[in-house]
This record gives sequence, C-alpha cells and structure tokens, in this order.
Amino acid sequence: MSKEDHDFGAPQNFLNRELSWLDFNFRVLAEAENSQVPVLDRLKFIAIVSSNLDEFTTVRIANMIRLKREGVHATDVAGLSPDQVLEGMAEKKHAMVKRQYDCLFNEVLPQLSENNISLVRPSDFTTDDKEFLSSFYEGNIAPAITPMAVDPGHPFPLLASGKVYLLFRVAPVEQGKMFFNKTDTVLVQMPTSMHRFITLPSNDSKVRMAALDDIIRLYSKNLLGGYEIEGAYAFRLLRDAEMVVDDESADDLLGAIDEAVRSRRWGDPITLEISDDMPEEILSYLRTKLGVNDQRQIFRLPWLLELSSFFGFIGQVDRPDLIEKPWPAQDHPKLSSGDIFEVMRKSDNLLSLPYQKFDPVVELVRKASNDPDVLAIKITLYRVSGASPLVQALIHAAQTGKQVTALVELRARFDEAANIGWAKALDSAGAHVIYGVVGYKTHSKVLLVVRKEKDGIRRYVHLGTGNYNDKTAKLYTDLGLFTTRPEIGQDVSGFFNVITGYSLPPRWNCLTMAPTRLRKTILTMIKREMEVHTPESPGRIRAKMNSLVDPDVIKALYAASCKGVKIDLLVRGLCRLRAGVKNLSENIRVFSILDRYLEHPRIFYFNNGGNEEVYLASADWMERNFDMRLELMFPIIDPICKKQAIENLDAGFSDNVKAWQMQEDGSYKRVEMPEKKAKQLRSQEFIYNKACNKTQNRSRTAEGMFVAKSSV
Amino acid sequence: MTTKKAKKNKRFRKPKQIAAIDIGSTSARLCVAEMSLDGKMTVLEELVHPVAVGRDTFNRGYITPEVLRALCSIMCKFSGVIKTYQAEELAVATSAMREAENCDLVVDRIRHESGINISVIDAVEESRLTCQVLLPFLELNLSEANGYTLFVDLGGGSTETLLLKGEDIVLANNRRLGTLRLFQNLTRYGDRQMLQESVIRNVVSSTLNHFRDYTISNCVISNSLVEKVLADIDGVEAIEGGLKVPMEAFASVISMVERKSNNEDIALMFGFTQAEVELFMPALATLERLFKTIKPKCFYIAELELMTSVLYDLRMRAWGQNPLLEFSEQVIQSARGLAARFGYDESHSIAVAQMSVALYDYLADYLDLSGKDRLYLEVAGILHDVGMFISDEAHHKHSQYLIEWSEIVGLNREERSLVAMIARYHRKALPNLTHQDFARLPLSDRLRVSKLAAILRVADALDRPHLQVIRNLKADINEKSILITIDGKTDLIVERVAMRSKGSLLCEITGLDIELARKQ
Repeated sequence: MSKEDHDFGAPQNFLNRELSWLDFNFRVLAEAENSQVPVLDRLKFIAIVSSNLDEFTTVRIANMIRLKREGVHATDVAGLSPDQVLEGMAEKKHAMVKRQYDCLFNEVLPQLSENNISLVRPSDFTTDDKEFLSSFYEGNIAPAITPMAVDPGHPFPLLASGKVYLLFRVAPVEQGKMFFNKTDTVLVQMPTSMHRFITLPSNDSKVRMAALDDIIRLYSKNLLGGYEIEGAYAFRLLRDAEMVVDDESADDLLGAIDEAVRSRRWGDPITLEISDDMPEEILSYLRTKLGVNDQRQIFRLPWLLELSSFFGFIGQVDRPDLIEKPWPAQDHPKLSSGDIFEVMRKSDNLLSLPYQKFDPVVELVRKASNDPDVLAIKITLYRVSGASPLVQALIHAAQTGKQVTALVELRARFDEAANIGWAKALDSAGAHVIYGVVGYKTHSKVLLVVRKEKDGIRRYVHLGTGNYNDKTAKLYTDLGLFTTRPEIGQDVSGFFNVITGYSLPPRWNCLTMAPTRLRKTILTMIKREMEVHTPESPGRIRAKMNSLVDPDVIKALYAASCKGVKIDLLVRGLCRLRAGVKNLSENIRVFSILDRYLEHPRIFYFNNGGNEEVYLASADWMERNFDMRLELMFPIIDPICKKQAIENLDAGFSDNVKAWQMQEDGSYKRVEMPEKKAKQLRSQEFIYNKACNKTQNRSRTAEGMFVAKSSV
Repeated sequence: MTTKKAKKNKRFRKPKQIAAIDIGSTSARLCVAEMSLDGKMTVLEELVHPVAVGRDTFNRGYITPEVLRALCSIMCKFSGVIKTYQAEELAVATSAMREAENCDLVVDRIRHESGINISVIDAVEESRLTCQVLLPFLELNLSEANGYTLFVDLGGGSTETLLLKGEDIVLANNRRLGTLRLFQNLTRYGDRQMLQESVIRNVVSSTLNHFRDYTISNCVISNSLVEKVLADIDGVEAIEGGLKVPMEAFASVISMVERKSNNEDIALMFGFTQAEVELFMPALATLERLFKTIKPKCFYIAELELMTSVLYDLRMRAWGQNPLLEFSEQVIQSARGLAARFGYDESHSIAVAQMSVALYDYLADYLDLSGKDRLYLEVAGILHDVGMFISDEAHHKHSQYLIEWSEIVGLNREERSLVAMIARYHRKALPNLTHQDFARLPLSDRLRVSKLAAILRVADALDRPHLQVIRNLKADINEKSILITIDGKTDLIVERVAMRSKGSLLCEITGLDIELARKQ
C-alpha cells in the first residue's frame, strides 16, 4: 500500500483510551518503584496511584459498565467493544494494584522502617501501645463511630462511595437467649473526622503509627450489647460518580447541582474492595447486598484499603530528609515587582507555574478591586477553593461597586460541593455570577480587567493553561500569559460576551474558541505544515498536552508524518496515537514526563516554514475539549515570551531523567538516563533552575550592574 | 468619514467612548468604540444577538410579546455593557421595527426597561447611513473606476439600490423586499422554489428598470451571509473593508449550492444556522439574477455595518457637527439626479437654488433660520419645477407630489414633505391654513416653510427670464427694506415686475420692502 492511500482511520492505528490511561498510571506507579526517589515521595506516588484509580473507576469504568448495560455493542476507534475494554481494564487494574501493594509492603514500608518510621501491626503492639490505644479508643474513637446492626428491622444500609467500612460478624454471648431482633452483622464506617493513622507514644525519635482500622477491630468489643465479635473485615465500595444533571431543562443549575452532589453517593455500585482475610461466605453476602455482580470488579487486598490515606500519613511525619528538597516558588522577575498595571503595559509576560509564584494573578485582581479607574473585572473560575484570595478580592470588588462578572463552572468533577458555597457569596456581594453555560463545560481560564486610563480604555488580560486555583498552582505545571494587547483584549471581551449569553461568537482577531473553531483551526495548521513542507525546510510540529485522543487530529498527524513532517509530542497522560509505526507515524515521537509536578500546560508549536507560531491553550486535543467545552487557544506573539515557551518545549523533549517514550507497540519505556551526571537533564529541575536565575538577576540592572542602596 | 478631515476640537480632551446599537430584522447589534483625540475609532466590543423582529413584523404586522421580551432583555444586556464603558449611545432600528404596528409601544417599553432610546429610522435615513460607510469604501477601492456604479444592499427587510457616479449619488431606490421578507412571504404561499424565482425575477428587472438610462460598469454588493461564504472561496481577493469577487468564484458558489439537495446540507457546508441559510438562499438567487442581466466581470462585496455609520454620527456630534449637513453634498447630488429624471431646466433650477442659499446666508439670522434649513431650501430650489414633467399647469402642485413620493438620499419622510411644501409655495397661493398639508404641520414647521418659500419665491423672481444673467447677489437689511444688489447684464425690469407679486410673502414675513439695485 502506498502512503497516499493509507486508511489512517483503521482501528489498528489507535490505542484504546482507557487502557492508555492505565498505562499512564503505571508510569506513576513506576515512580513509586523508583529507588532513586526519596522514600516519602515514593509513598506519595503510591497514594497518587490509588486516588487516580478511584477516579478512573468511578468515572471511566463506571461509564463502560453503563455502556455495556445499555446494550452498546459499538466498538471504539481502536476496534474494541465495551466488554473487551472492561476485560482489558480489569486485567491491567488487578496487575497494577498487585504491583502497588508489593511495592508498598516489600519496598516502601521496610525502607521507612529503616528510617525509623514504622507502621505497627497489632501483633507488634507493646504493652504501652495497648494501654494508650485502649484509652484512646474509649476517649476519641468510640464516640465517633456508629454501629449499624443489620437485622429484620434494619435492612442493609446504603453505603457511601469510597468510604472504608468494617463488617463485624457477631454472635449472642449466651446461646439460646432470645433477642427482639436477632442479628449476626454489624457495620461500622471508619470515622472520617480523624486521621487514618494514629501516632503511638514513643520515647525516642522513632515515629510509630497504627492504622485506625486495626485499632477499631481490636478494641470494639462492646459494639452491641449481648453480642460478641467473631470477626471483623474491612471493605470499600466505589460507586458510579457520573452526575446526572439535566442542565438542558434545569432553570436553576445551582440547585440542580446541589441536588446531584447529594445524590452522587448513591450511584450504581462499581467496584468492591475487601481485606484479603474476609471469608468467601461474607464476600458473597456483601456482593448480594451491594449488587456487585462482576467478578472482575472484586479486589482482595492485603491489610489496608484506600492507600490514598497515605497522603495524610505523609503530612503527619515531619521528615524533610526523606522527601526531595523543595523548590520554593520564585518571584517572577517583572510581574512580581512594582505596579502590575505598569509592568503589563510595558510588555507581555509569561508566568511559569509552579516554578514561579501564582501571586501576580492574585495581585492583578486585588489591585483591580481597589483601583478607582477599573471599570470591570471578568473571570472564569473552575476548581477554585472558596478560601482563595482571588475569590475574596472579587467579593471586595463587587462590594465596592465594580462590575464583576464571574463564570463559575459548577460542574468541575468532584469539586461541585466546594464551588456552590462561595459562588453564592459572590452573587450576594453584587457580582454577576453565571453558573456555567448550558450544555458546555467552561474550561478556559481567562481574566480580564477593564480600566479607563488617560489615553483611553485599556484591557489587562491573563490567559492561562491552568485553573485559578492557588492549590493546584503549586502542583501543576502551567503557563499564563499577561498581556495588554488590544487585539487580544477585544477578543477576550468578546469571549465573555459569548459565555454570558450576550452575543454570538464575534470575528476573532487572534483567539480560537472551542467548540466552534478549535478543531478546525488545529487541523488547518497541521495541513498548512504539510503544505509548506519541503526537503530543504521540513515541516515541524511540537506539542505538549495532557491527553491526545481526537481521531480527526490523530489522522491529520499521521498524514503529516507520511508527508515527512517531523512531529514531537509530549503527552502526559492518555494518548490514542501510535508513534513510530512504519508507513504511518514514523516521523512521530511521543514522550511522557512524570515527575514531581503534574505536567499540565498545553503548548502547540508550528514551524510554519520558518515563520514560527506558538500557541497556548486550555484544551487538550480531545473530542471532549473540542466539542463539549468552552476552551480558548491563544497565540504567543511577543518574541521573548515565544522564546520562553519554546524553551519549555525544548526542555521537555530533552528530558532523560523523568521521561518515557512510546514504543511502536504502544507501550512506554523510560528514556535511557545517561550515566554521566552532566549529561542528565531533568526538565522540571531545569525549568526551575532557570526560574531561579531569572529572579536573581532581578536585583541587577539590565546591563548586569548591581545597584547600591543610597537611602534607607 | 475618512474624506472629512478631523477638525481640531476643544470640546473634549480625553478619548471618548461611544456606542451604537442597530436593531435589524434578524438580530440586534451593539458596537462600543473609543474615539481618540484625532478621531480615530477603535472597536472595544462588538455584540450580536439574534432576535426575530422581522419574522413577526413581516408575517403578522406587529411585534409579539415574546419578541418584545427578548428585545428588552437584550437591550438591558447591551445597556450594561454601555454603562461599563460610560459610553454615549445612539440606537437605531430599521424596517422590521419601523413597519410594526406597535412600533411606538415597543420603543417605549424598551426605553422604560433598559433606558435605551431607540430611534426608528426610515429608509432614507438608512440610505444616508449606508452611504456614510459606502463612500469611504468606494474611495478606497473604486476610485480609479470609470462609469456608473450600482450598489445593492440586500437586507433582511429591504433592498436598497444606489446608482453612483464616482462618489456622487445619481439615483436611489429602496424596495420593501428583503431576503427575510421574501422568505416569509413565499412560505405563506407554498411552492417556494417557483415563486421565489418569479418574485426575484420581477424585483430585479423592475429595480434595473429604474436605472435603465445608465450603463452600469461596476457592482458593489452588501450582504453579510454572501460575504461569509465568498470569503472562503478560491480566487476571491480580500480588499480593504470587503472582497473583490471574480464571476468564476461566484459561479462556483452557485454550483456548490446546486449540488446539494436541501437546505440542511447547504447550512452544513457553509457553517450556517437554519435561519441563516433561509436568508442566504434568496440573497444568492437575487444576485444570480442580477448578474445575469448586467453581466459584470467581477463585483465587490462591501462589509458595511450600519453601526459603524451610527458611530460616525456620534463622532460628528462629539465634534459639534450636524451629520446631515456633513452629508449635504450627497443630498444635493441625489436631488439633482432626481430632477434630471424629470427633465428639469437644469440651469434655471440650479440658479434659483444658488440664489436662494445666497439670500438665505444674508437673511438667516434675521429670519431666525438655522441648521438644516439651508439644505431644505437648496433642495427645494433644485426641485421646485419638477412638476412641469407632468404638466405646466399647476406644476407647483405636481412638484409637491413628486418630491414627497420620490427618494432623496439623506432626507427622511418628514423632511421630504417639508421640502415638497417649500417647492409647492414657490408660486401661486401663499401658505394658508386652509391647505390641509400645511395645516397639519406644527407651528414651528409652518413658520419654517413660509420663510423658506418666501426666499425661494424671491430667488425664482430673480431668474424670471430663465436666462441666468444675475451674478454676485448681495442683500442688506436696513430699517425699512431689504436691498438686493446684483451684478449682471440686466435692466431689472422683468425682475422688478416679478418681484411685485413673488416678493410679497417675504415682505409680509419681514415687514420690510424689497428693493432691487444694480451694483454701481
């Protein structure tokens, strides 16, 4: 077959998205297994693997089960039916969980022990421990737990998703005694109000912890009067987390989501995790009661359930020697100094999170909220915490009579509950609050400050690849553009008019919006790269994103590769494209970086025959982002900022410490790390060091002179 | 307008924010702009909100409560945006609103709810606004072109055609038949395809008939949907403010459309909504028909926004100018084009018009006349004898009728009827409350008509022999009389006789005698 008549859309050219995602989580797990990583960080990666899996289970697996139940037999673009995908997911997930527990028990916990941190099992409790725990149980735990006996008058209760429960098998103390309601089962939910791990008293510097489950099992002798305990077993149920919010018909999106959040706990059961000592008979009792029919969704786990609780464990242990040296966020050399309006008027600036502090974004809003010349502040908020200084500044601005428009996306998965409270507060402060756009999730991250100045209206804009969330700004790598370019300002005003329902989409100067044009624009730019490609000046596309899924874009990339365009992709998570396949994608390389921070920016580079174009975006190349979300892609016009964005890409593609490369069969292999330290490049560290250098230069003049302080 | 150089002004020292609203037959638009000190305008925000005003008006004759609510809600949103910028606004509405029976009530309701005061403009005012943005386009792109230019603006509610020579308007024509109205009407009668063709054929041929005496060399079209489609077609050239379209490119659009069997597919192909495709099809068919007749090699698409023109008006206001006066050259050209159609005695009429304004300039203060009055007088002067086209007898009455019912770019209906009345009183009976048309006018307009007619009568008397012998007219007002001094080879005998009867109105109004004298 010649290259031209390739059927780029053939199923074998695509990877399945769910399985690809699981491969990503394997790469996370590999960091836990990586002996080069400090031990508490390894434990953190174990916790991340679990919390990732929980979300995957309650969303993606649940979705597949729903598809199967609804009788969908259609195959995905990779040619797999829902059942085949379920089978593949279960196989991978079981293997992953096994490796995760092996790693925890055989490597991480022993290594922690060597470092004087131990998780003590009941068999190893000392007399002092028992004494302490006994009174701790009576004083702190017993009041916090509510035993639920299952008897004819009390049917099996509804259990919340994701919570660890203990099932106690009980028997009457005196044989033959008649009870009003005879029972053999008591359920206890692990109290969520206290730490999962309790610190045991210690005379030396050793840290000794005991699991709450063990303590409850050991000391709950008198759960139910007249009964004694025969056995106790932990289990955990995960339910379908998909909210059914009919936002087409819901006039009150806020109320509808409020309602849906409350009902999420009662979605269909998906997965049942049990402690491995649970007898078959009890398991089958639970399966019947909970309605988990699929054998593949039963996970027998040794000792501890919900390994994401180790996040708390890490927080309780103060051992900086066992984590990687922190990289304190740096000040942005320009944005963090002086009047932010003035700095922004001078030139465009790129802020690189979390290497640099998030403060300039907050400062822009804070300053705007106090500035008498500011006419309006508009912002999209997605996954923002209520305590966020941004929200506080917005409330202040609204109270002082500024026009504040905030689009609060309530449908950010798992954050809905957090959003509702402060959204109401903002509303009552007098801001114009919009709770999302019907049918579309607002995913773009954009901030606009309109200011009336001596020489006319000026618009201050921040466009980001990440959310306005002060917490994730410390963990996710993102880029943000600060600009006062009028052509961008006009587009951003237009964008707000679109999402607030004030206007049809305008003619854009330089922004590209999903769902209307983003896919088309990306396809056009890929096509243009093919057209300008010549042997002398080869086409070149480089892109960094979280996920690459959209079949149209993937097909276009295959076509470009066949034409000879060199394509390098940094796809952190799932990727449906197959890289390096002969006669299909031999010019495409796919890398994935897994390091301390979560790789999050979307950077798209097109060589465009030497007239380089660089874009940042809130969107991945996914159908979801192209079709169901309001997204923005924006160009980096300023040459210095453009250079910075390209450097960011360069660093990613040069990484040989934390990078993985996709193989022809779709699997990933670590990029080989050079022996010589000097040749090693860890992109996140590299970018951080650059951020540090920049900050240090700040106190010198442009020519490198140090400035003497002449007055106090 | 780019042709009018910014006047140095001292009225404001800071950039000024201005906002224009345009309510058309399918949507409401808002444009907020900033005008810098030198008059340069930068768009700050542009909003478009669909609202089916035309569907109501052209179908039912009135605006339904549902659309009224939508309009109010949109205007409240617009008003919010305008307030953000503390901008001065001007809102206009065109045929869809104008022709609604409940127009006044709708305007009042919107004003009450949103604070936005909408001026419902008539077709002529619409033409003026269109010209205001069309002329710069022509200057930019067709300044080298020879011959006559036909301009067709295919709107939802009406189709406006202008015939221009260079930048002068020769003839204007406005048809109450736009793409939306066409679609609505045809839907009502069933079998759309066939009716559409015959209606369009009629419209095009009767419109062209209007311009039959002229050879059309250039064609400029304004229609946003056609523009949107053509912009993506190979061979179409993007020019300042629009497109240059070779006929092959237009033909390729026609064949693209013909290959599709239904509107859904066409909508998909061009990225249109259902509503848009329903407007696009009649527009395309009209153009196809038009080009079949005039057979141009290429044509131009001008991207004209009524809002932009409204912004120009606002800018002129900010500069203390009167938009209509700035436009008077076009008004006069249009009046001359009209007069020519009726075969007027050009030299006499122009002489009368010129002497009228010369007199006006001397007498305006004394007569308490100002602003547009001079323009009305000049137009009335140009057109005062057009009634001769029908009959010499009572030609002043025919003049009145013809002026009132013809189109003069830039003069709205009320203004046209004022001009018509001024022309009517250029001879015979003096203004009188027994004349119904006159009696219907408010007092201020009755005075204005009388004063302007009085001047016109004097000017007409001065060219009694229709020989244009008078040069350098001057007028001085002294205690008892108005002394008109002139140059030229005349003994003033005929003029003095004529003045005895025709000057009486001015005598009556001023309380002064009129004396004629030759310059020493």
